[in-house]
Amino acid sequence: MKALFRYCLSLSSFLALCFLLLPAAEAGNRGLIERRVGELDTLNKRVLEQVPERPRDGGILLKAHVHEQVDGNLDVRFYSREYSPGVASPSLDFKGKQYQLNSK
Amino acid sequence: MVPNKFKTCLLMILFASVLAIPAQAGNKRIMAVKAAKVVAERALVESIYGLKLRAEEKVVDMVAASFSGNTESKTSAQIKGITYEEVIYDAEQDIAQVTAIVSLPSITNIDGNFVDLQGKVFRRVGFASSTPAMAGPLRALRAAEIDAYKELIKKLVGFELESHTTVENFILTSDVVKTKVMATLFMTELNEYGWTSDGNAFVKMQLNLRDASQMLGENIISDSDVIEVEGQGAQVDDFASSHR
Repeated sequence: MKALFRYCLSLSSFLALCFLLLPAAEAGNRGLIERRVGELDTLNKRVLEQVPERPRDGGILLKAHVHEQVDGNLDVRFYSREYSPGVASPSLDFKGKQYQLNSK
Repeated sequence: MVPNKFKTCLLMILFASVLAIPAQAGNKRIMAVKAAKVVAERALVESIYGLKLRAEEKVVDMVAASFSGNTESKTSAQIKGITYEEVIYDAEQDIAQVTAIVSLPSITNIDGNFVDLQGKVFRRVGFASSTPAMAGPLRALRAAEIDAYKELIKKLVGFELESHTTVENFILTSDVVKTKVMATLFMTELNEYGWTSDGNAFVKMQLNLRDASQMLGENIISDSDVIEVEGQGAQVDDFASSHR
């Protein structure tokens, strides 16, 4: 009788552990959203590649109509493109240059 | 030898089961089937007459936590002559499944265009339950249908993109990406539907542009004859709960 009780106890513990360790099999939208965010990022990068005279630094605000073709190419018609300049880094010239400090 | 106590217990159970009131026929089945018929009818209206759809998606800094997406659909029409091919009721789950069929000579669609349907047979399936707790898979399926409609529109006419991006040293860093879709859609056909092992629903839908062109009497300009998409829908909002 004791042996049976022990067996039942160990079996129920094992089943409880399995239940806890198993990943949740519930349907959720998390995976779908994460994939969609990735798709939007890829789409945005592909559209930006088609922006002529892309600035090296700064911001681009654009509005476009996008239509994906059967072959996977994007047909992009831009409505508006606005560029905001970034902070240009000053360059230092070390060749054949002499600098003076004006100190009082 | 069976103990007396056990015998008494067994007899009591036997008595109880004999005296128990038999399960009465309720209205759950009728209500679920009626609701499933309405759902299937709506699907037919969306397929033949069409629907208006508006969808927006936005993501900031490519962080999934900032993602927001919503899609709205609307339709309203009267279709006569719908018949029901298959009515199944799962009493255990309290879920009804109905397949509705209609064949019409012609219709004036959502855009006010006359469509010569040439007696084409349209078939759509609808599910419903009178128990809210059992409606998860059904809600996921509807979400998948709406997603499929949106994807069809995106493939057919495209979408609006608004992007505000910062560029640093030739490296593109996306800040805000928004997409918008607003269009009417009709003549859609549902080819396949189901649920994946994790319970998410999927719907495979198509739009036959060659048929639609013939029925409308107009040439729909597209680079393919048939547009096929897959829509997806989830039962549980585990995304929101994981970001609380």
